[in-house]
Amino acid sequence: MNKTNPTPTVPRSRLDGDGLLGMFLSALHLLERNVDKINALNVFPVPDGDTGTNMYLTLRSVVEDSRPLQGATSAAVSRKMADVALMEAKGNSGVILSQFFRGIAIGLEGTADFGCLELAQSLAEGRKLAYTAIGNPVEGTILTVMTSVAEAADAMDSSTAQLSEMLDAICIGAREAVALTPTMLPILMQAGVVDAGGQGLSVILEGVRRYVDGSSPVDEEMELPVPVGIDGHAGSVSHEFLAATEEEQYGYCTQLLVEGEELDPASIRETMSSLGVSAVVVGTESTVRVHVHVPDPGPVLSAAVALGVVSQVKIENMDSQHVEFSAAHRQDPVVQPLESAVVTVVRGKGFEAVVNSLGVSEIVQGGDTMNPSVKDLLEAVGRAPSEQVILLPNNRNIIPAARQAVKLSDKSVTVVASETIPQGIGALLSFSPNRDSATNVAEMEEEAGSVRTGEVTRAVREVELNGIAVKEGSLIGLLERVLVSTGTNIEDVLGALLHQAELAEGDLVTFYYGDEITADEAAAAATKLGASFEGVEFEVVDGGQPHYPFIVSIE
Amino acid sequence: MVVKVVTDSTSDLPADHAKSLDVTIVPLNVSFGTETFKDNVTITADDFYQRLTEGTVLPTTSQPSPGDFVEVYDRLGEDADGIVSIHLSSKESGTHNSAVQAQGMTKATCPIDVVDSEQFSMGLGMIVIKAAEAAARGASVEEVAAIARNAISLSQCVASFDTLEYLERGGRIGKAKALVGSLLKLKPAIIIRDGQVHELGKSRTLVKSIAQLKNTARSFAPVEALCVLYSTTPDVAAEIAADLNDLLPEGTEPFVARFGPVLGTYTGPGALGIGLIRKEGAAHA
Repeated sequence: MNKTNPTPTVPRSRLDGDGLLGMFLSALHLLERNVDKINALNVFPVPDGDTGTNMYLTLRSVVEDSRPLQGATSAAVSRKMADVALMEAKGNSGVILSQFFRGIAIGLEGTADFGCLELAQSLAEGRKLAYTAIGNPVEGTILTVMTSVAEAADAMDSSTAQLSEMLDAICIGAREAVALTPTMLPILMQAGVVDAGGQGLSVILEGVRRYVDGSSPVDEEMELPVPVGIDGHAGSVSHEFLAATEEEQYGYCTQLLVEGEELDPASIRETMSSLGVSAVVVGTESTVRVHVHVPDPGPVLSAAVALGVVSQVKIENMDSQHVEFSAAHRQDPVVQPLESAVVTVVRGKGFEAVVNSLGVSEIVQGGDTMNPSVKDLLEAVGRAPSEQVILLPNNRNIIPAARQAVKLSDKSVTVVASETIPQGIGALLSFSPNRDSATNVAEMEEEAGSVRTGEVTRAVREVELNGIAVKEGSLIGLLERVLVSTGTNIEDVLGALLHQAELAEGDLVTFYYGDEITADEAAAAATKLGASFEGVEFEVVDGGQPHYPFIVSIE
Repeated sequence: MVVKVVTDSTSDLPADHAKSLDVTIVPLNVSFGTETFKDNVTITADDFYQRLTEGTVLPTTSQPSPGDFVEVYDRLGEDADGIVSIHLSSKESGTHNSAVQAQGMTKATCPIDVVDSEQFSMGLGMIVIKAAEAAARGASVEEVAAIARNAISLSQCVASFDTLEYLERGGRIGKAKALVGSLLKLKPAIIIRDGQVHELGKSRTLVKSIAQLKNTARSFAPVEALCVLYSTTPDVAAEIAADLNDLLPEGTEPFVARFGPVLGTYTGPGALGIGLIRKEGAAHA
């Protein structure tokens, strides 16, 4: 498609059908360059990032299918555009755009050419249609932008204004409305973006304006309007914004009234400014009102008391206000109490990350050589954000302490007696924080029982077990805690262990590698051993555990 | 009394079923970049899944335009006494909205009732079948619509995915957000409740994820009709269907259908699902 702006014939006080085609061809070019930027804004109603694409596809059909009407009246072209838009509308934004075109068709009915009066009517009609078209109109969207542009056009004197002047006003109205969208639609505020559909319409109108104006190139990425009420970039996501501001200390908002004699508001302002920020001091020789944000209200009060009689003292903790604001504007699963929560015992940074990703609330460090105390478990149970707590000991030797914790805790605690970390992870797969403990426990016990565990570690002494002679310090392979292999090469011991496990097709073997094994070594072992077990899937995960080069989960 | 039943392509109703039941299917659109196809009309499921797995451009989907519905309503309205138009959950798509808008624009003069199924895939398909069977018996438009609305609470749809990637990237993760971010490879399972995607569970192996689907289906007994869905593994779907045969009344068998391109955009390859309708009067599971 031709990328240059169609040559304008200046001045354009009235436009005919060809002019209408030119307007939206120009808009299409500008929109094409801005599709990705608009997609990136898309969070409402469904955050699927396709608003820009849908508007582009809709507008492209409108322009392409109307082009054969060159030389026709503005009424004929606008009618065609509206018909095409209706048929080709893609997505919600496309559907609303079709109402915009229907409005133009109504506004230009019976016209050979059109000017400001008809344009203003078109925008008003489009706005009306769009609102009736949507079941529950939501402000802070493309609808708000349609209202704003219709009002901007209506505010001008159509009998004297030039089309280009009216379009200037329309585009300013559009940009202002887009910038305001986050103040109307909370999800936009949360996401830290302006509305995608609104921005799409704003870009289209800018393309139209540039055609009529004839001055600016259309092949350009447009800056997003600065959103009102959000300090970040309009294209960035709010979590960062809220997280960043969370670290900020706002301190105390301190306000008071001082009554005295020969007070000097200017010098008091200077004093207060040196103590904090946002100082506002107003008043007379006898009465001064102070407002200042300070980390500590003490010095403000002392300074004020030295000046005269202090009254109407009001101190607000802005940090807690901000935390409330932040919490209210942020979907944070942690702030909601859970129906049930899990406390588990693991050792190794990798395992900690894995169980965290599966929804564990509290982790207690521990394992074979480091059994946690009942007190450690009790404290973790106490911290868990639920009255119903499930304890996963992940070690046979820790189960007694866990049972003890059940008796001592004032919460309702249940032990799922996982004997290994793979069993515990298996159990976690069927845990949901939105269900009660009893429902969770029944499924978790079943899942824990369906996972087998292999371990590779070192023998601490010479021993002969199950007919296998083990030398002190050599590697041993355990399957379900039973000695099944020994040797000096890790891969061999691991391989012998897996052969003993009699793997079946469809099984999944996960290698959790310990702190003495690198990711590459673990991956190499999985690749090599994987080749000898057809139909078995292998996965390698960082466990980070000490003493055990490999902990293996078989399921 | 001639009542026509209309649905959209996300019902995944097999073409032969639709034909024998005289159901008209309005396709949604699936786009790779700026190349747009009509679901199951201008792109086949085979071609779609091949492009999905081999191509670099991720597809996006869009609802039918009001005009697409107007065309269908205009045509059916010529010799129908009423139209019942049943569509996927309005909470996740604007399709229902397009249909409602078309209602006010069509030339058809017969009554048109647009029903929000609050379901997806064969969860929707099962409701459509119930309505179409009633229409075939000569029921009035009010009766057909009432049967469809009544079937909403009896219909269930569950699915398990080989990966959550496609659902997440498509922005339809809904209430199943908790599934995201695991460090282990998981096969997530979802269930449709109140028109939205909810987590059903997660498994690490195909065997377990199939067991979970089957167990969930059994928990809805007694079941009147059942369909097993797949995106790329028809053999696995056929096995599941055979295993669940005993769940249905004598003389009825489960059938197999495929997640079409539009839903495939979110399920990805290797997905399996079950759509079923419970017997009326059965206790709520």
